[in-house]
Amino acid sequence: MSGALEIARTSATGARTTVRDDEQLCMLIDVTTCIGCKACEVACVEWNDLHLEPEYGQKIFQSYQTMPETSPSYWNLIKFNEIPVDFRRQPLALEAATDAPGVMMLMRKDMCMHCAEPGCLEACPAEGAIVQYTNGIVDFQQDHCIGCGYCMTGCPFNIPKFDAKSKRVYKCTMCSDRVENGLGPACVKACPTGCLEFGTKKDMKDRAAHRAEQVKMDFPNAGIYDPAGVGGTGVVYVLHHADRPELYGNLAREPRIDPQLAFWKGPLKWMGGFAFGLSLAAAAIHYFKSGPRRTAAVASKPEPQKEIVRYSVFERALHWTVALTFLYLALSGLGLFTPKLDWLLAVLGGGQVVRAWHPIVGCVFMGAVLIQFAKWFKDLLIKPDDRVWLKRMRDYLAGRDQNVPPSGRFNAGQKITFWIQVLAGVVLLASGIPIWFPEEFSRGLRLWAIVVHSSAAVIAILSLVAHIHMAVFVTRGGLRAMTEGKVTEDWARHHHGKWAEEKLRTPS
Amino acid sequence: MTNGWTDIRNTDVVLAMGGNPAENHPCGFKWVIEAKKKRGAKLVSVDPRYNRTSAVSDHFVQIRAGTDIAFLDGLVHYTLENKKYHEDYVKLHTNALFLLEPGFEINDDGLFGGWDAEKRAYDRSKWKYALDENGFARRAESLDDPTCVFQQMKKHFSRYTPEKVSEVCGCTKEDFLKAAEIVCSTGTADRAGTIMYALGWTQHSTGVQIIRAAAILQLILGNVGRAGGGVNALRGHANIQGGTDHGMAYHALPGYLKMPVPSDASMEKYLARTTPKALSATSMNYWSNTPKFMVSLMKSHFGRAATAENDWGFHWLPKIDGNYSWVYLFDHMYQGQIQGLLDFGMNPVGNGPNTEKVIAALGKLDWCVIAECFPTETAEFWTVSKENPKTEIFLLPAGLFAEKDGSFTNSSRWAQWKFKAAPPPGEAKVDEEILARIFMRVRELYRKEGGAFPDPILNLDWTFKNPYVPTLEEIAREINGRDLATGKQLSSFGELKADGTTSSGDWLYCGSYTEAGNLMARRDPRDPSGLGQYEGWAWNWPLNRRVMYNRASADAQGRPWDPTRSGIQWNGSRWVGDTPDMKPDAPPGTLDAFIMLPEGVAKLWAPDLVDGPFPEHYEPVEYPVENPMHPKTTRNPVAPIFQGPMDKLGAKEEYDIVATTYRLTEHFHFWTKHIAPTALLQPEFFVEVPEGLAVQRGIRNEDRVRVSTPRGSVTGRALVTRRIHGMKVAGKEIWQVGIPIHWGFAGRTVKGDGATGGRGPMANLLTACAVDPNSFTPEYKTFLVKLEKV
Repeated sequence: MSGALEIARTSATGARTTVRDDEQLCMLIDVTTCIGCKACEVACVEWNDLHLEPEYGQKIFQSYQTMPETSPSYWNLIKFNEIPVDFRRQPLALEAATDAPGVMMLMRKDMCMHCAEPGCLEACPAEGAIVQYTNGIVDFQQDHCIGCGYCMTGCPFNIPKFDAKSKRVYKCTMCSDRVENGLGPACVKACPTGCLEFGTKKDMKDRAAHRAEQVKMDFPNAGIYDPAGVGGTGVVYVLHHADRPELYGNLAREPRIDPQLAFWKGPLKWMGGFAFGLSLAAAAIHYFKSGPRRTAAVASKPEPQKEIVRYSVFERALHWTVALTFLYLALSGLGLFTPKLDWLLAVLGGGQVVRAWHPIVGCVFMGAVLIQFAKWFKDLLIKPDDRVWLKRMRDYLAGRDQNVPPSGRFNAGQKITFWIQVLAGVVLLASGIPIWFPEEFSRGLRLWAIVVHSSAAVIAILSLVAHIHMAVFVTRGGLRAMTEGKVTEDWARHHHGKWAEEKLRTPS
Repeated sequence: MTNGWTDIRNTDVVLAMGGNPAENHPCGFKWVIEAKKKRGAKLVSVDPRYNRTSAVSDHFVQIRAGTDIAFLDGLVHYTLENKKYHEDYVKLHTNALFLLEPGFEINDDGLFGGWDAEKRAYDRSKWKYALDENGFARRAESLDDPTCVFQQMKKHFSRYTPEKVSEVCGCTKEDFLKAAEIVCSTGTADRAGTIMYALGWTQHSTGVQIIRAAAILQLILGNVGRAGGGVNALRGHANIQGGTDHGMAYHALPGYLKMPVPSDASMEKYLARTTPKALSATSMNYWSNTPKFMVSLMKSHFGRAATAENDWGFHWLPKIDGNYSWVYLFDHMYQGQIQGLLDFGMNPVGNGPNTEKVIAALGKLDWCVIAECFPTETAEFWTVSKENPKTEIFLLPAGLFAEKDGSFTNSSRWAQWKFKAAPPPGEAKVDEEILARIFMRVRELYRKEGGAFPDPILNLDWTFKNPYVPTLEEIAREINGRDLATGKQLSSFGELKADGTTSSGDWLYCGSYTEAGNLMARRDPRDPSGLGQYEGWAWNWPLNRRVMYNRASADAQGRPWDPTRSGIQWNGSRWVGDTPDMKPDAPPGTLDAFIMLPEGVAKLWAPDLVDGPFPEHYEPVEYPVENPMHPKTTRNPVAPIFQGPMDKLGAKEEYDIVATTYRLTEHFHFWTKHIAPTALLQPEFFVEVPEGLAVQRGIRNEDRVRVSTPRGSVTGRALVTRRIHGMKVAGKEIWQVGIPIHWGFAGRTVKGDGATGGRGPMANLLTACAVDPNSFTPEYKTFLVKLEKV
C-alpha cells in the first residue's frame, strides 16, 4: 500500500487518466463491531494536528455524540443513533413510540468516503485544489483552495467543511502522508477492536463480504455499502441494515454526482463558450457588413450644432459603476466558471481574493443596477412604438434606420438589453447568495443555485456583448454620450427622435 | 483475571455483567470481537442500561441496579435444574462432595444460621465442614448425599426460579431464560464460557457475594482454569492490579500476606494465625509456605537488621487495630482523628463517595501533601469548601506514567515493563524521588531527634545507588528478591526460605527479575500455544502462569477436557503446556487442582465471607422496594451503615428513582478532562434519563435537570434515551437514571453552573458511604435520587 502518491486527476483541469490499473486502497469499517470508543477521533486530531479550541461546550446531546457533523478541525466523527427494534432486533419505524421492545445503538464512523467519482472534485473550480491519487485517495490541497465551497455542494456525504479563519475547506485525507510512507491511516492504527481495516479495495471487499455473511445470521439485511452512484467508495461499510443506510446518521441511500453538477460542469460550459464565440462572430460580421452608423444630418443646421445633455454626471457615474463591476464580475466569474480561463483569477489577485470579492462586487453591481432601474424605469417601459421597432429590427440592424419609428430616450433594443440585465442581475443575486454562504442553505438549493447562477451569467454576458457592440462600435457618438454626457442635436434626432424633440422643445 | 485478556479469544460465550468492557476496556475488548468473528462466540450483556457493550452483544438484558446476585443465582438454579452442569468437573475440582455440618442454612427471614442480632454479625463457627479424625473434610460418595455441598447448594438456589429472577431484577422471564440458555450452554467438556466483570459488581453492599455467585456459576459449568473460561475482573486503572499485589490495600502486606494485628504478639503467633491448615489429604495448601514468604519480606524491608533474634523485625511493622479502608479512613478524618495526608496520584474529592463529606474531612487535616500531574479537585478542594479549612496544602508537581520507567501489571496479571517517553516537565519529579526525598529528611530528623519509635525508619534497608533517587530497576530487583548468601537474584518463590537467607519484596513477583534479567521487559510476540498465551511477552505472576487454576483444565487422568484448548496435560512424567498450577511432577490424583485453598478444590460453599456461605440477594442500602425474597431482611444484614451527621440515607418514598454511576469510554476517571482532545469528546456532564420517565416528568432532551440525594445534588443536561427503560418490580414501577462520573470543577470540561456551590457536576456528591462488609468497597453503583427539571 506504500509508494509515492501520483495524481490521477485533479480538480478543474478536466484531465482524466484512468485509475483502474493501479491498486485501489480502501478502508473497511465494520459497523457491526464498532464500539463507538472514539479512539479514531482522537487519533485523527492528533496525527493531523488539528487545532481545537481550549474551552468548549457540548453542541448536541445525541446519544454519546456531542457534535452534529464533522468540522474543518474535526474530520472523523462517530455518529450515534438509537433506533427502536423489535424482539428479533430488527429495526422498527423511527417514530415507534417508547414502547418499542428494544433499542439498538448504531455507531458509524463518518468521514470522507474517497469516492471513485468524487462529487467534490467534480464541483471544484480551482485547479489542483482537489486531487485524486492513483491509489484512489481524494485529497484537498488547501494551498490551491479558493474557499468557494463548491466541493461542499458537490459532495453527497456532507463531508468537506469550510474554515472561516483560513477561508479554506478541509476534510479527511485518509492520512495520505502516512499511506505514502507505507502506513495505514491513524484512525485504523488506533482502532482497538479491529473494526477498521485498511488495504486494497479488493481485499477489503472480500473481507466485508465474509463479515456480512456472518452478520446475516442475526440481521438478514446485512450487507456492504459501496455505492455505485459515485463509482464505489474508498471507504466501505459493513452494515447490519444495509437496506436502510439512513438509519446510520443519514448515510446517503443512493449518492451520486448530481445532474445539476454534471450539467454545470459539462454542457453548460461548452454551450456558454460556444454562445459567447457565436456572439462575437455575429458582432464582427454585423460590423463589417453594415458598418458603423454615422449620424445623418437631419437637423440641417450649420456647425456648431447644439449640444444636448443626454446623461447627467450621476447617471454616467452610475453607468460606469455598473459597467466596471459587471466587467469584474464577468471576468472573475469566468475565471471561476471554466478552468480554461483560470488565469483570469491570477490576474485578479488569486482565487481566494476573487472568491472574497466577487459576491461583494456583485452586491455593488446590483445596488447600482437598482438605482439605475429606479432612475430610468419610466424611460424603459415598453411602449406600442417599441413593438413596431422590434418588428422592424432587421431594418435597424441593416442600417435602414429610417424604417424604424423614432425612439424615445432609449430604443427598444436598449430597453430589452436593460431588462435582460436587470432580470439577470436579480437572478444572479438570488442564486449567488446560497453560493456565497453555502453553510446556510440546503445542498439541493445550492445545486440549483450553481446551475442558475452560471446560466444567468452566460445570458448577461451575451447581452453585454450586444450592448457594447451596438453602443460603442456601431452607434458612433454613443460612447461620447456616456463619457462627456452630451450628444449633438443631429445624433439625438437620428437615434432618439422623440427624445430629441422633447429635449429641444423644453429649453434647458 | 483468572485467565487473561488474550485468552478471551478462546471462549464460546462471554457474559459481560457488572462491567462494560467495550466501553471501559476497549483495547481488551478486541478479544471478544475476535472470539465473535473467529469462533462465533456469543456475547450476553446484562446491565442496568444498554451500553456500548450491549450494542455489539447478541443478547441484552436490562436488570435493576443492585440485583446481580438474584440474576446469577437464577443462572445457577437454571444450570442445576436443567442438569447443564459439568458433572465430572464438579466432582473432581470443587467441594461439591464435601459434607457439611447443619446450622448454616438460610431461614425464611433471609438470615443464615449463626446470626447474632445484637452484634449484627454471623457466628461463622456455625458454618463448617463435617471433619474426620485428621481434621480433614469428609466427602460424600455421590452428589445425591443430602448433607453434601451439592445438595445444600441445590436447595439454597432453588428459590431463584426464573419467575423470581424476573420479579427481583425487573427483566422479563423470557429475556432471563434466553440469557440462561446461552450462558449455561458451556457446561460441557467441549465448550468454555467466560465472565467479564468490573466495578459494576464490586461496588455494592453485596459486592463480594456477587463475585462468589459468578464463581459458583463458572465452577459448576466447569469453566474455571480452562482456556476461554474463568472469572475475569477487569481492572480499571493501568496498574491497579500491581498496586493490589504490592499491598496497596490497608488490610494486606505485599503478596496478599495478612496484615499483623495487635494480638499477634510475635512472629510465631502471627504465622500461626495466618498460615492455613489443609482440609484434605490431597490438598497442596500452598499457603502453608506463608513463613517463607513473610520472613523473606522482612529481610527485604529491613535487610541485616532483621534477625531471628528480633523476630525478623516483626515488631517494626504496624499492627492494625481497626478498619482503615477508604470510607472509614475519611470518616476518621471527618471526625478530626487524622492530622496529615500524603496523597499520591489519588483524587479523593473525585473518587470517594459522598463528596461533601470528603471535602469537609480534608478541611479538618492540619496538612495535606498532594503529588499530582494536574491540579485536581483534591488539590483545589479549599476553593469550594463551605467552612474555611485549616488545612495547609502542598501541591508537588509529579511526573505522570509516561515520564517514568517501571512496570504496569494489567488485568491479565502481566507485569509489563515500560520505558519513560520524556522527562517530567519543569520542576516536576517522579514519585519515587519525591518519596525518597521525604524519607531521607524524615530519617535525618529521627536520627537527630530520636522520636517516639524511630526503629522502623532507622532500620529500613535503603541501599540504593542514589538514595535520593532510587531507580525503579533497583526496586524491581528488590521486589523479586535474592539469595542473601550468593547475592544472586532468585528465579522462583519455590526458592524462598524462612531462615532469613532469602529476601523478596513480594513473593508473587519472585521470578520477574532473575539472573536472566528483567523478564517483565520481554517482548516476544510469538504464541506457540496458539491460545494467546504469549509466554515470552512480559512476565506474569505467578511464575509466568497465564491461566490460573489450569490444573482444572484437565480431567482426573490429566487429559484436557477439550484437546483443542489444552491448558496443561500430564505426559506420563510431567505436566506440560502452560506453567502448571500444580507441582510439575505430581501425577494426577495425588494433589488437587486448587493449590492455594486448604480444601484443595474450589469452594461452591464457602465459610470465609462474613455475610453468608452462599450468595443471597439483598437490596442495596438505599432500596426502592422491600426485598422480594424476604421482606424482613431487606438489606445485607452485615453491611455497616454509617450514621454521622453527613451520612444521610434517602427513603424510597421521597427519593423515588434508582441511580447508578459509571464511566464513559471517552474519559479515564477524572484525568482526561484535563487534556484538550479527550475533554472535547465528552465536554459536559449529563444525566441519562429514560424516555418514558422523561415523558412523565416533561423533560426534553438537553433540558437542565437536578438530581439530588440527602447528601448532595448535581445539575446538568438530560440525555433522554431509549437505552434505559422502565420496569416493574414487585408490582411497582421503577425507573433508573444513569450518572457518568467524569466531570468536576477542575480541568478543561464544562464546570457546571454554580448551582452546587462551585462544586461542578460530580457524581459522587450523590453517592453514600455504604460499603460491602467483606471488602469495604463503597456502594457507588446503586442509590436513590430525586429528579427534577430545573
